[in-house]
Amino acid sequence: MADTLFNRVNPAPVRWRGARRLLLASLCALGGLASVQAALAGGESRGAQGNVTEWLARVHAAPRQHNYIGTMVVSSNEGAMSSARIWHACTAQQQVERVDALTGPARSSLRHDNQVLTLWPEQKLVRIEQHDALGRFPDLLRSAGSAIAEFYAVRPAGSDRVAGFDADVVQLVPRDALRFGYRVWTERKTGLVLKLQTLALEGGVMEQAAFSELQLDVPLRPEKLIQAMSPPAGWRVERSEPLKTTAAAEGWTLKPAVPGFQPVDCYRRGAAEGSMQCVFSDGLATVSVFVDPLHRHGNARENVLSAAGATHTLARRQDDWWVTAVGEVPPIALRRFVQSLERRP
Amino acid sequence: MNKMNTHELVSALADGQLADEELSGGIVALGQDLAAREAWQAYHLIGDVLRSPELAGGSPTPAFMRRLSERLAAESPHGLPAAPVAEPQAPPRVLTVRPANDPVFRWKLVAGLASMTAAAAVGWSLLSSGPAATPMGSQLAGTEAGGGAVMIRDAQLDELLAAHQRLGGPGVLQTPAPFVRQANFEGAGR
Repeated sequence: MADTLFNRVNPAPVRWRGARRLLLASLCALGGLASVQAALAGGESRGAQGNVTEWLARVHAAPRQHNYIGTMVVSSNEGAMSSARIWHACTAQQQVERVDALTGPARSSLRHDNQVLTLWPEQKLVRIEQHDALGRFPDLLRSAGSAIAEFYAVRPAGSDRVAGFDADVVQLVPRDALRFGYRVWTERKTGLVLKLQTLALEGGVMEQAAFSELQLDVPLRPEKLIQAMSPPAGWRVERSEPLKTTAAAEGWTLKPAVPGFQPVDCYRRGAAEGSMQCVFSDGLATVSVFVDPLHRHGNARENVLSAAGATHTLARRQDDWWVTAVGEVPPIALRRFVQSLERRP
Repeated sequence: MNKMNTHELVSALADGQLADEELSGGIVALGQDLAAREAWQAYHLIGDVLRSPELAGGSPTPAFMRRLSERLAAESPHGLPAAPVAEPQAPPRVLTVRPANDPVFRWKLVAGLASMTAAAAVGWSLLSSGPAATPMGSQLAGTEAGGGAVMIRDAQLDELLAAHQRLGGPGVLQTPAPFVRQANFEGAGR
């Protein structure tokens, strides 16, 4: 509590957003509105895309410029809840994040550059995974900014307080039935996402992630986080490096399935040629299309399953292959994904 | 009924493959035969372990179930304890039976398994004295009215969900939520 108060009376480091704050301050002065509301409210009438992009850039930049320690709770409409303690440290060059699961089996993971290290104390097991996705997100942001404005209406939705911090609320309303909506709470001074709700097409909350407790701009050194996670001697080490591939190289044609979803990457799955995981994103939602030989899914059924919270799955047999789409999108979008796949002759 | 037949019967009952007279026979066997009840628990434990290591906590032992039946029989019809609770540490173990809508399960339609379980509970309650049988009977009716839809955790689906959370990345909003969620799907055994 003392730390939280301390952080709130001592403003966050302002080295990066001087210009933006000035702009927002002048908007506030002119309109008498809170910062984000002003930027977005103006956006609906003139050049929504520019303001959405600016809001996204601010949200995206926050974890690159602010350290924090907090507890994040993820809960689903079915009542499942998981929580984790998060240490996030950044410098101009790097971001390091440690996530300790507080629910389920004990598990600590460290995201660092392109690597994810996971420790399983009960099994004395370490998994080291090269993880290209982390380094690539600035590119995704560039294309996602315009895609998000095109496929979601972005509206200010008032202000709130989350984990003791003042937050601006923004609602992202999908313009079609192929994606879910979101409500995003961002910390007023930094733009850090404090809370995120995924909304069903009918408007109910399917899943929400929120900090229950947060200390912002704490002194944290990335090196210290990395040192603290060096695996103890004698633990079993598993290394994996997802092998990148393309649908074409595995003998598949993937037609564009859902507007706004860009192909991100494809990875090989196992030794069998033709089996792969292809990842698509519209910037907010992610879909994986898995292709496996039929025998790996012996007696599975073709079905729609609501898996957990907003994550849905859809499986379909295609000749000698089993195609499963998994993603935080409505089943109708998953159906388009599994139907977009064709075996090349 | 010899040993082998009992095991086959319980196996078929656990798979939901029995109907009509065979079904009644299976339930009677569960109610009368200790070996049948042990086989029933073993088959379910095997199924749970195959589906997910998280479910491998095991099921109550026959001794526990006997005590539970006795305690249920001792309950007054209004649900109030007939006498001061003798073993305060025992009741919380009842709660280790997961609710049917607990989302740690991946839900899949398996016709009849829920009513099968309720029917087995009736079988057990036959062991105990009369008063306990009435509330159990109403529970059976309630479960059948509920449609009997049960979702089963699938290890293969868990693997896909974990791979999706792992390689899908945190998205533009950069929240650690996928990394928090990922723990749900990654069994301790991998």
